[in-house]
Amino acid sequence: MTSKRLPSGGLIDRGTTVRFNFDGRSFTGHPGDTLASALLANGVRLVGRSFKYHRPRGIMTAGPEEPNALVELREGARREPNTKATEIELHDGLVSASQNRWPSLAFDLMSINGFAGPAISAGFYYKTFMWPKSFWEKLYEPLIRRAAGLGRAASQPDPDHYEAMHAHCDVLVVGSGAAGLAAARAAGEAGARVIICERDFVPGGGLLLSPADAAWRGDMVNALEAMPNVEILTRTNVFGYYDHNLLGAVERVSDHKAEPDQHEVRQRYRTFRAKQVVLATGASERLIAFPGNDRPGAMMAGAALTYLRRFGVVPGRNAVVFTNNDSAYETALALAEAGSGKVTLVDVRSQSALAAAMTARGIDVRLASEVAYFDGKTALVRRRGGAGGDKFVADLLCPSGGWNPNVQLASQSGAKPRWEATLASHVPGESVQAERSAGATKGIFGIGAAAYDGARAGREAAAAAGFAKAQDFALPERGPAEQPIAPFWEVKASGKSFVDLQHDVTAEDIRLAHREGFSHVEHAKRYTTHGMATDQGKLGSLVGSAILAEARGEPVEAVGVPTHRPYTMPVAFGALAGHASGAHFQPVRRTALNDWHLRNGAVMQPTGAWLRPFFYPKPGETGWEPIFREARAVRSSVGICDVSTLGKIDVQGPDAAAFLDRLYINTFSTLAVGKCRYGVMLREDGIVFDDGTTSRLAEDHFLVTTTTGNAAPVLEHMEFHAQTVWPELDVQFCSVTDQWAQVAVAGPKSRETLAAAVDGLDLSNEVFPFMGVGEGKIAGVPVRLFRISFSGELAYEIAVPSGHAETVWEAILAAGKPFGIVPYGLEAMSLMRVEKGHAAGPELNGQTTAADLGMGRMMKKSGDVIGRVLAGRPGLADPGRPRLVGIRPVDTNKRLRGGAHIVREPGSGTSMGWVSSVTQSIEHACWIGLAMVENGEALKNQRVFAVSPLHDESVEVTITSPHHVDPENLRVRA
Amino acid sequence: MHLIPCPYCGERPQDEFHYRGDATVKRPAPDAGEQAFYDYVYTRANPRGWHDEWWQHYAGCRQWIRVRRNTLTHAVAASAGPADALPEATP
Amino acid sequence: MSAPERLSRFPASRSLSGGRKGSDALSIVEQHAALTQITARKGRQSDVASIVARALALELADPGRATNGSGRTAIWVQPGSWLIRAPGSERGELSTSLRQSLDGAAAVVDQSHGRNVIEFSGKHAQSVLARLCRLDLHDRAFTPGASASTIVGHVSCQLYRLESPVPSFGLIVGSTFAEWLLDELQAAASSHGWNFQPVRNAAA
Repeated sequence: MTSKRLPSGGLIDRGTTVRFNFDGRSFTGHPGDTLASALLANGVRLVGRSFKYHRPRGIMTAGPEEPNALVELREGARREPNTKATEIELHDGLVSASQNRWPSLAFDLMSINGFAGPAISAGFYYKTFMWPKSFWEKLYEPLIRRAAGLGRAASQPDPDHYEAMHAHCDVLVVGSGAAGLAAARAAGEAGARVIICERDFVPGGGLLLSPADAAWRGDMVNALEAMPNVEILTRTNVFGYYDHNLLGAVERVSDHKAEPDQHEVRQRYRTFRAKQVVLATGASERLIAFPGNDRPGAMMAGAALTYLRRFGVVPGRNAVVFTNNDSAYETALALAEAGSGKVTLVDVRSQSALAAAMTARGIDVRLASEVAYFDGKTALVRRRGGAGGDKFVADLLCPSGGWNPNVQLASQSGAKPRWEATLASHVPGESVQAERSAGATKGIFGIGAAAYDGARAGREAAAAAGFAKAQDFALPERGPAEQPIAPFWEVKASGKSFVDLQHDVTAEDIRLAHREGFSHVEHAKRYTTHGMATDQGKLGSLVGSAILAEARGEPVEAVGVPTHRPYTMPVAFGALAGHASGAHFQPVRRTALNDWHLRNGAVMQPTGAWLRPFFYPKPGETGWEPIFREARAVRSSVGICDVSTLGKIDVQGPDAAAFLDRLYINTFSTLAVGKCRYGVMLREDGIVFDDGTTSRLAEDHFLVTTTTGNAAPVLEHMEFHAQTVWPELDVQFCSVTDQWAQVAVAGPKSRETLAAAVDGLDLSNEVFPFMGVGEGKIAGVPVRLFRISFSGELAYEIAVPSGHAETVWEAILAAGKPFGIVPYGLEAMSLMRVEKGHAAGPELNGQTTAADLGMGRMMKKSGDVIGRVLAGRPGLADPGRPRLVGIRPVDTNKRLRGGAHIVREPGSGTSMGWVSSVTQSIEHACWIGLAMVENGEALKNQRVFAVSPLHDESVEVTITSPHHVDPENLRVRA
Repeated sequence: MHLIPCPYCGERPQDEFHYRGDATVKRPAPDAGEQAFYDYVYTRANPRGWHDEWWQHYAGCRQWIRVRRNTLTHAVAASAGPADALPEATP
Repeated sequence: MSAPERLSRFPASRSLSGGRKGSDALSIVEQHAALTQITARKGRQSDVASIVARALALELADPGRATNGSGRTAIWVQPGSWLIRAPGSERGELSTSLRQSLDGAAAVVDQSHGRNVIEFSGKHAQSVLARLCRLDLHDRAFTPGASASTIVGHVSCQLYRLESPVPSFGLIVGSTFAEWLLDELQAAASSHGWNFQPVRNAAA
């Protein structure tokens, strides 16, 4: 294999050699190479197979628009599919593999698809493989996967780290070509905070292809680097433009290394909130549709220039350059200068003022001509629309159909693309957000003109951001005007002419879409998948539109191009997730007793954001054993539980009582100081919102508790009503959930336990009865005590400033030792609350009313209460609605399941309600449950069935009071 | 992501806010009857264009603020504190 | 009998460090503080301001600001409401004395145990916080005395810039989120390195 590398020139370090691997073969290249340039330098022409027809493909471009050279990068857990060889920075030890070929790249069995072409034209998925259904899973789907699959994702977890970073600036410049550098410099000189993002690993864009402007580029980069108010981000691709000038980008921090350094991320997801944006994203060269325009050796004229000028690689020996505009002339000249073989320039235009200069350099110029065929070895050149023609030996064919300004980001920002006839393309329309385009993005071509326009845009952006100081700096000379482009889209000749190489969409497919009624550009896109590949139609989208326009008999501008949406380029999920994966996925809340729970063997359970002890197993305990042991201890003696997760809201002010009276269906203004009361809160639509106990600490001071899950919504609900509905009420409140740790001490021995621990409060039933609130000290710590019960036993809750929580907890454990006190977890608590028949989350499910839960009589007779009016609607007041009841299996060996339906007879199709909560009971030695059953109260003691078709189970149950334990509520008052 | 101009904290990203919707509906008097409360809870205009909305700056000053936002363009024209009125009209 | 109070919110009662080794490491220091939230009753804001000024020699801050006076800081949290930060030795007594002097003029709520104070500083403090927070913390935008209730590491925090030669920030977070926030700060700082100093427990 001969080297295609020029002896000098370009931005590569010939003094250093790096080794890399492609499809198991070893190659060498130089720092500054991309994988694509290094493969070309090594004479590798074939880099992949096409998606549908498995046609052999070579490197077509030198940038993100690459449709062919998609490779799997790296190996093992770091393997990444569908990366573009044209974007991969070469480094020592790089390992890559071609994809979408089977069994090998050179010999691909699937290329038979090419001969079966007519059977798999556009829309073939929709038309074929429809029947019989069973064939889909067994035959079609695996076959299509193998035939049309892209690369393989790694099957192991990604070992690398990602992060997000949010930046702000006065002026964000996207792109660092002549326009971008000039814009950043102008804005930076004005004093604005500037960030300039460059997708490539070196700043410069088109300047990198112009040796004459190398010095200016260097000066500009040096000047920008010296400015403390300017930040240059290379390897940073801006992928989306969102509302209110927010832009998203991915910085490829260490993709140019085999592995990130220690403590370094692989990629960084960045957001930019910019006061002003300058879009200097350049332009992309577009394809011409002609038969064989996808063959290895076909390479965009601009890409060929890039390989010659930036990488010092000669991409072919004998070249045909096929153009409708002036830009490709430079490619022809550069090829001729590289001097390897014959260069032919085919221009569709009938005259060109540049032709003589070309001929003088030995270039064969064919005007008013077109390429009618290319097969990788020869090209057929003929008069436009004519027959016959001349065959040229050509291993390189460089089309240039003109340049499309990269309007994607402007378009995403809301600026509708505008057709510009002189370019035969779209330019950004009128700005909607605080952005402006500059240089080639706006259709202003040539380095001098783009730099001049960039400087203007940078100055304007800085001024709009409040930085009006202008400082001149040197700009490159502006070149002569170019000859007009001749819009030209397709050579009509037999053979496959591609408009989307990656998805194998041909010009004929576009016409087929039109014939079948998919004539809108958005419909044609989806029908043919044109423009839906990872290159997002950058090469051929407009060509497809032009072919569709011809079929429709309308001008291209009437057809337009599909809407540009984020992302402009593929983005890895890992980058978007950033740091928020695994243990960092969502915030974790830990109570003040968390460390105690961990030290004492608790099995911790995430519940919402909280970590809560599930139970505290002893050695050898399995299944329900620890739960039963803990619950029995509470029912027979005493247990202690961390209930710190309850929401706690401190409410004060002269109108605090009046405020609570409007929030709860029951009354708090009548509550005595030193007492607490259970309350139920409705939503305005009459459905139960939350419940909890509220204590009156002083005439104008209450402590509200909420359920764990509703702590934040209840506070927001209170704030909404205090701030906007009743702003006249003088009430102040704030969350004190984290200030107070709270522990429940429950069981018949709880009073004796606490009596031994508490100073300063008489706990006798007479002095401190059920629903009493008091203050005392435990281990010297001032605490609040509440005589409330969730378990149904004699119980207390103790609130303690959270820094003292362990001290108080340990003191209570010590005091309860004579009674065999045990810590109990969430599971034992749930068991006991189902036994006691307290409604909780499964019953407060956003569908139940207070009456449904047996609390209808709590609604006070008069006064404004949130939810009162709509709770009275006939549908919600209907006595036949499902009511809270208890259920127990007739056969006590049967298990119950939450979610089961209640039916009159097994097999009945009519559900009377559902089972909301179940547990194994320690009091009844069988499963028990709570259920919501139509006319539930009237059905008491009757037998119905709890059916779970998912488990094929039907259990006969007796309907009971929801209070499976102590229905007279004597224990809590003992 | 939107920037919401909080009258107390300045422009803040949308993820510091919770959205509640139409700020033009007023809670009826307690005796206004079922239809009035039904309208208050359920009946909404769903305008195309300018819309006065409640947003709570829950991660900031915790105020329920009124925001005039264009449902079509996402532009924000004005904001006001919970007890303050938005300007009469937006061009 | 005095209570052995747990002063640090973090399980490790010793200093820790992590991330890249070097002189650019960020400093994360847990502070022992007394915190009291005061919220003015309707129409009593100016009374509250003058009472606090008299009692603590401390000016209450305007929206988005934190003010210092006599070793204490007043942080605006919402209209009519401030968080007063004082040294940990004033726990309990700060709330008690404010409750007395502001009786009838403001609701006074002790939050010393409800919030955790962390000071975060270093050359790269802003770029590390930019990984956790969407606010503009640039020297031009968020100067010493600036304060914001915002989201840091996905949780609500009070964030304010301290007067210091190196960029330094105070972070006040709900105490049940403190361990989470510390994890987030350490992860975000790991590319520069970090040193963590908890409050030493009396017993430790």
